[in-house]
Amino acid sequence: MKPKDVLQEAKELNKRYNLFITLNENLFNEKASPKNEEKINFISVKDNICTKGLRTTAGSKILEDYNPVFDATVIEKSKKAKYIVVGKTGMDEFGFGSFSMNCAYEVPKNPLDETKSCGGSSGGGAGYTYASKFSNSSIGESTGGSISCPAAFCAVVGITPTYGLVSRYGLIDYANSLDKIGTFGKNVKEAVNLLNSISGYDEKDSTSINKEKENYEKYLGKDVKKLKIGVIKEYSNGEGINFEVEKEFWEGVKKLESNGLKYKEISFRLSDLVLPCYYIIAMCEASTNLAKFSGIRYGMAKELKGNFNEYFSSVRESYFGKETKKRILLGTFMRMAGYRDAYYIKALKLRSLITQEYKKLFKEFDVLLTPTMPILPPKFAEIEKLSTVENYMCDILTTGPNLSGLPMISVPVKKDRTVGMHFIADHLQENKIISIGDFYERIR
Amino acid sequence: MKIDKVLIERVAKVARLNLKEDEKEGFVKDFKNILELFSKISKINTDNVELGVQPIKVENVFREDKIGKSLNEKEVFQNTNYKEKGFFKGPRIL
Amino acid sequence: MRELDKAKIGLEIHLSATKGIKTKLFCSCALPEKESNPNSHTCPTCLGFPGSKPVVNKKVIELAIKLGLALNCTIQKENFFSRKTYFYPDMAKNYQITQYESPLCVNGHVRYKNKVIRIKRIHIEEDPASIQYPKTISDSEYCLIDYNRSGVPLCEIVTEPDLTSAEEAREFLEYLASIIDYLDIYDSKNFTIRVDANVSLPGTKRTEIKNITGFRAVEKAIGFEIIRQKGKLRRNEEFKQETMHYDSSLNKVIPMREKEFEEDYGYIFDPDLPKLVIDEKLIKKIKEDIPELPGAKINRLIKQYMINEDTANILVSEKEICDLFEEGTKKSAKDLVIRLITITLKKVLNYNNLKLKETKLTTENFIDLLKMIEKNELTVRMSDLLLRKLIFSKKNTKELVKELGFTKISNFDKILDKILEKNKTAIEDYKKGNSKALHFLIGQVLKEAKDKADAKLIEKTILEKIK
Repeated sequence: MKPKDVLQEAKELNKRYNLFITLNENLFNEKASPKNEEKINFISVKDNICTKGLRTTAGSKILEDYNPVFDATVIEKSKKAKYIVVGKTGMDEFGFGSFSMNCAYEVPKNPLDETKSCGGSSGGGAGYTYASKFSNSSIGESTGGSISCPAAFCAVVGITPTYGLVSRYGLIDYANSLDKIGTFGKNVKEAVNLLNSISGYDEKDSTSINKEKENYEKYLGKDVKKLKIGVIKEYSNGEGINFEVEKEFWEGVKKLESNGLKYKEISFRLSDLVLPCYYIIAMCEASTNLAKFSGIRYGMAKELKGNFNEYFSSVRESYFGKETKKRILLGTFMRMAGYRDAYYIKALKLRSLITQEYKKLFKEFDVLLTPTMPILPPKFAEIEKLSTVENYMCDILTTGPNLSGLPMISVPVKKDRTVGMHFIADHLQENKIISIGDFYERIR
Repeated sequence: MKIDKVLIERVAKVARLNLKEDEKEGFVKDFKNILELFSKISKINTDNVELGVQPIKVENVFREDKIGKSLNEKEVFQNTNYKEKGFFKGPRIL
Repeated sequence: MRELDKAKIGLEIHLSATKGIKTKLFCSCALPEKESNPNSHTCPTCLGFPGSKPVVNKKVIELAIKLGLALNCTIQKENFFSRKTYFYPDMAKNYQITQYESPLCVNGHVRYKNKVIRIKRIHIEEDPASIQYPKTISDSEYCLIDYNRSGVPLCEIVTEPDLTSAEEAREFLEYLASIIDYLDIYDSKNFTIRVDANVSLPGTKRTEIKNITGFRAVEKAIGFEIIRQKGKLRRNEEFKQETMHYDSSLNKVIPMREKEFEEDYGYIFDPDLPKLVIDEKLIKKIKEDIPELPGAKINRLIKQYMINEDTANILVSEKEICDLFEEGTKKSAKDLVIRLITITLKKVLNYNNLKLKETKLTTENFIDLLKMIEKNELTVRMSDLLLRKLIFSKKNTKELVKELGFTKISNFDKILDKILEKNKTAIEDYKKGNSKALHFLIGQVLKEAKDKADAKLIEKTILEKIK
């Protein structure tokens, strides 16, 4: 596996599927000792993670020429573990979206069907992981489901770890209390290997969990029959879920059952409040995070004319996309005096209640299970017809565990199938989701 | 609470976003629909519930008062042409 | 002043917590100095580069608690950081991380000259960058920004509107500055204290004067504003809440440009920063480190040394001055020490804008000086001169006495006394108007003093003695 071949393939895939915003042309010069070529792994990285010397745009025009002066912690760690970055993958601008269609550069196409979306917001990374012969894993990021969704749509494995397990230093923020860096893999093992390399305490991130480093590989190949599974009723049946998805999901559940696992259907009390709660917090935080982009010190700028209000407003108008402006406006509104209590503060309280509900369920169950997405990967033409609310509603199954910072894994229900089985566990119980995800992959 | 063009204009000003007239109208519609969805949360009682600022409890994370590396001049100005005599250039105040 | 005339003045004091601290509030950049090159103490965090994250400097919390305890505040056990979002060219992230909503310290007070000024709150926040202009503020097409100051830790002290005059405000600030000095938490060489003043009179609306630098400027600004408000009252004009700034060159309080709209800060809790939970043990430990503060010192000095309040205030103005006084009075007469300190020493310090700890004067040298005075080896003028020298010279008292030729003069002083004793008629002659009598006396001294002696010096000393 030579860097030359990897880059060549990446360029071809990019031409066909627009999976990358920036390719690492320096791939040739990366330290790859010929003797140990087999030990080197090639990964792609979501473009909201800072890579020193390699353009980082977060899928936005406002960072079109941005070249970070530092590596994100996960990049430093992966370099140490001999991973080489092939390129920065296509994503919804700043993470705002579930189909990568809000990418200000070329929109990534699904390698399983070019007329369809890769999912979002980490679409390009999931697509490349599926399609590449050379790259088996990718670093992605999730705020409300942006790893799980593209994993399901591109028939790969996606791991979203516990909030704080992987350092956010160097991640361009969408919503600081919701963002988590995680991994894609062609299979559970590849996703876990990469997770091993990038996880761990980082003093540069105040929300980083200070605990001893775990080797997640030891949870592969385990016997999981003792694990109790709770299938969330509201998310696995009925009108909110596409019938094909529902059918294949239950086939997967029966497979688990016939292999000795017990499951029970349970109700999640606050299931219809999870989505609004997530979006309110996410947008409020995002609107403050994006305030820094105003044409000074970095990012796209304009001629220095007018006073600062005029200048800032002009730069931001020109270089932010529509969805970005929408979320900034909503986020700003919901924390303004007079509205803040009803939206922002209320949502923060509701989040505590939602987390409490999950904790209650985890007293009885080891793992919760739902389909990953309520729909199959849609065609681009269909997505364009969706209203904003319909668009947001696609996140209904993933926003809950993301809100509460729970670890989760999406495993394709069958090989190359674009329906995901979504296993969720309690905080810092990556062992359970890895073991059961790996087990399911073997028996499906 | 009235959702109309005046509100959108005020929010846009606070957020420093220039909007075109048709954009404003689009956002009025969006706001109405989206906030209807979001207002669902008002129906649940949250009296005496703790604020969930982070999903996992974190307290007292500090750094020792030790001097670390600052950026050199090249790094500081790597991403802008707006510099003069070691200062960043920015828009005027008045 | 009639109750009706009393102004209501509240102050917001922005104090850089910069002594005993090496790095900024949320990043490890070294604190800048006045002469630092622009943007030489910066990093991704204080420059607001995307992807950077804040981590709290533990020392700042301890320092702010120390300040709060010294001002008799209650330390809030649980507090948060918030984001105050507003756009300005000096903002690295266009939001400031502050504790506006949950201040670290609340409900304190300062007892000063029989008045109690209540401290509403003290909270921690980060300083923005500093802005300069290529030409004047109104002529410049753009501004120049230096982020060295961005992220410097600030303690914001907010008082209740308990001050009633411009003079009182200045005195209070000076007193507060002495407390801060005692705590040794502020680097006055490289940073400035900025004050916002809120002023109203009975019947008027509150005016906020922002960003005043210097305590005298605060006094002038408030004084000007009170006069302005009184004028409006007399003319029966309408009042509205206003924000102003003080132009020190014009000595005027000028309204800030009418903003196009009002900023909405949209506070959220900063999700990057964990909650602070302050331990009782930590508070206790910090309390033990606080030295005797001016207020307590003044009371003790008055009782212990039987001095008046004004003298005590001067002695207490710097911790080192008070220490010098107390060491001095162990060895010498109280009145002598007081005179030397409150008149000579203070004069030199004020004139040169120095603090005692910045000078070369040591306690040892001071005590040697006192001993010489008490042994009558020096005249008043000589001792003053010697003291001035000791302030600036590395040499000790004995060395300086020799260098100044005072050794000879100490001897000649005795000779002089002898001559004057023997020539009382000459003294009277001189007093009657015979200047020649003075020359005679000088000659006598010169003759008697076998060492060289300065005639002019002798003349002066004689005149002094015969007064």
